[in-house]
Amino acid sequence: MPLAIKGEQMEYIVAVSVALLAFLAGVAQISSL
Amino acid sequence: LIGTIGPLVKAAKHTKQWLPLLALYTLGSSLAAMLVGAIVGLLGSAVMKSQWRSPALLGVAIIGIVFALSDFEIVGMHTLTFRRQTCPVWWRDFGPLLATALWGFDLGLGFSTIRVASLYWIVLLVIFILASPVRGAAILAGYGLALSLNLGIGIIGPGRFKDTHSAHMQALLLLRPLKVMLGSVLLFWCSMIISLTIFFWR
Repeated sequence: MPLAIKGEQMEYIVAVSVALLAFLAGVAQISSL
Repeated sequence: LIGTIGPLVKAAKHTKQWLPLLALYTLGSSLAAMLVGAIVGLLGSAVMKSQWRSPALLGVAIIGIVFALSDFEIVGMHTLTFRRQTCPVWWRDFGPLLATALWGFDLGLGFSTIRVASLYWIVLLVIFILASPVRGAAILAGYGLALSLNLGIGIIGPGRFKDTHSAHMQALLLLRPLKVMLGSVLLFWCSMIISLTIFFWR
């Protein structure tokens, strides 16, 4: 397979993307309207 | 949740004391969020083995799809959430400063009050799989800071809502499109993780 993701690269992708999800979850939590 | 911390928004808007209040809220929310992230990461590090990581991630992505569908409220499913709201009487009982910090802490915990959508639960599961207290704390610090940003927007926002009733109405109108938007983001993320895990992770 020409394109392969190593374990540590995958962990980095998962960690960064899930941090973005966490941030989005916080912004979207309607509490101060 | 909506309108429960209304006194804080109102006080911060009208007394020009928004900076200390926002700082206390940020302290509370970030501290609680980082604590939850660190504990979940610690639990993960005690349970997870590195060879389980790939199938576990795939499993969480599949659970995420089901959760996203529950955000869309398909076939009678609903977002997984407690129905509790943070305590509005803290403002009267403890005074503005302590109440602000406590509200920040309570909302920063994430799981203890009403959740608009399922994203948060998937974040917790992924932190468990990543199995690192430091990473868990760092990831959920973003959640705590985003809650503060949310409050900041409420304080310095245009102030269109003159009373609690109109704020409630506006929130109810926003809720459905917000859930659909967050569910779509979750669906996209899960599809990305499933594709990467199956086709490219070597």
